[in-house]
Amino acid sequence: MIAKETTKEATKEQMLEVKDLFVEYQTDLETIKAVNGVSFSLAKGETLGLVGETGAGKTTTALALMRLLPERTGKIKQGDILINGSSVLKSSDKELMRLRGETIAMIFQDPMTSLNPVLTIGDQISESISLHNSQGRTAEQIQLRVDEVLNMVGIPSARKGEYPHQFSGGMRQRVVIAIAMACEPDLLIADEPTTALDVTIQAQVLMMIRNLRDRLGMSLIMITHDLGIVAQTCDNVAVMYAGELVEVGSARDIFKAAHHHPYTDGLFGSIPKLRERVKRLKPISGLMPDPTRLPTGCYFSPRCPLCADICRERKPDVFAKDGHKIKCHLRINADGYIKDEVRS
Amino acid sequence: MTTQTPLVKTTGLKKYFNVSKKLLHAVDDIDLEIFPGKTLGVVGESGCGKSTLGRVILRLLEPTSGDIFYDGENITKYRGSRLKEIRAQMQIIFQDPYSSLNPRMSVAEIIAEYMIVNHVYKRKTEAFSQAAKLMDLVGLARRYANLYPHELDGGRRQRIGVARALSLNPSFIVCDEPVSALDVSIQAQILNLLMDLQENIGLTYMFITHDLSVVRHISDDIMVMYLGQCVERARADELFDNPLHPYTKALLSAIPEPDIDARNKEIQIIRGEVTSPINPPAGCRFAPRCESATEKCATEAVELVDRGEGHFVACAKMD
Repeated sequence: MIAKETTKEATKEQMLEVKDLFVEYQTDLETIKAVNGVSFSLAKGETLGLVGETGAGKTTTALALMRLLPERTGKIKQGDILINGSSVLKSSDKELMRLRGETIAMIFQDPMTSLNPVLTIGDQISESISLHNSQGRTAEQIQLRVDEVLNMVGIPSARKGEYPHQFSGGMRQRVVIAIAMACEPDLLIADEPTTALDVTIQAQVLMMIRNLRDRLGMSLIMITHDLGIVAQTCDNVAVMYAGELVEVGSARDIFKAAHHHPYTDGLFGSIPKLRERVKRLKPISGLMPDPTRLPTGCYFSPRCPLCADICRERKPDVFAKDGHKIKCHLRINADGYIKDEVRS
Repeated sequence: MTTQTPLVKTTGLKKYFNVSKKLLHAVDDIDLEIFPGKTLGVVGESGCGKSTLGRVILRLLEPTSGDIFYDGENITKYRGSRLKEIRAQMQIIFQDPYSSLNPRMSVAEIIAEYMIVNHVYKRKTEAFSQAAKLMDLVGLARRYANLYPHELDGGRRQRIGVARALSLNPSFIVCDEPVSALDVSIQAQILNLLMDLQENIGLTYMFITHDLSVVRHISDDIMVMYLGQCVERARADELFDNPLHPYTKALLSAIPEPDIDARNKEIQIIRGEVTSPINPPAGCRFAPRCESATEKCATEAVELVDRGEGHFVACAKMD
């Protein structure tokens, strides 16, 4: 699916394009189909929310963008990834090194495991600056840049000689963000950046990511399972299920439109409401399908409350209306939604 | 169901831990009452002492001072067989459905274990047939009985934890973040299960969580904890509609709402982080982060005061 192309947005420069991406993990025993035909694009300065549950393929998609899939098992089977117009799949190792860190940076969920416990945080930040030292900074200038980056994320630069264990969870995540920001990337991928943090600290970190994004004009992919974070930070949203994008649209489409993919409805039914009291939640029955044995037809059909015969037999097409796309057979007669020819 | 004696009650409950010659105030002077068939939600950030509180009430940890009452009886000093008896009536469901189940025991063995240990039945086979009934009750297919925990997903594992907690017919269950490790759709299934069980068997819960939308959904009353102390306690709806303590207000405002119209709502971001619970200062423990704190707040202890209709707040600025 190609993201929204209204007249206003068509003029925007696309910094990232993912075309029909398939990723598999192959082991001697089985083949796990992690990503099954994902297409989306991201404009400069845009924020895309990638939403889905554990095992939906969100992180695999992100790793594929940076060609960081595990070498032996992870394979990109099909599709293409274009960053600023050039294909990542055809890049040499040297080009990839520049891509990682300089063009794209990533923040991981757990700040403790993504930092090196035996290096001071100052060393860890300066490492990425000196590795991508295209401006030819001297050692002194690099240290100045480290101070600058630390100030940017709200850590006093006097603490740069300390080790990760001396920081709290929220502060560690700020350090991770500082490393990601050090080379001013064009695209930041935040993979569940606040899941390990308390709500008040989460609010601080999210606010900081938003401010940095706006100030530096970065594009942002926010991977999360929290629809609250999506509502508060994202321009566009892609809902992922069993390696596919089942619904794509602007944040307004996802939260306000009359029609949704049944999975999206299920996600909303599952979260307790803050403002009103519902007697009973409406969870999605069953579990995510086994990625080694995906069902025929629509992958969501075994759990779908609206499942019809056609859903079990044939893969659904994408139906779109003003850039709001739903991959579901039952949208055929929905008002204004027409088959999306780009994708079929 | 409408007896006036609370099923669980604590007065002045304290639990301090000794850490390198200092005292860590994990639970500091907690008074609470939970009535039969009701749910008390306990919310707070990591390190606020909510799990310790749950464990002290179950007598899994010895309280430093204070009393615990179960159904009117003071159980603080119970030992031996009397403690064992009372413990059968109070159970716990743990947060992590991975580490709380013995990987070397099958599902049926895990569920039957408490019944076998407590000699509930004369023969083991009876315990196993009761385990099968419990599996039906929590919605686990009987075909899983001989599988091991690692063969099941998180949601099903948590159902094992629920079945095990129910095996001795308890009246009171401490749910310690039972859904935090689960995906939203599975989380909703477990929450529904817990609420159905409460309705059908009349269970009483203490529900510990950091997730505020979950706590509103499941609780009758809510207690907000900060650094071992209760800062606010009220009926669930009252607390959400009319939060009075600055910490509760900030906590509620910090939740990202799944509503696009709330995007531009003003978020009160509290400065800094939770201060150390080791030898805390005399005054209000939230004072270092509080926007409206005065000098008085930092030095004078605050009392939990009823502000009307059972809405308790501990804030000096309320006077």
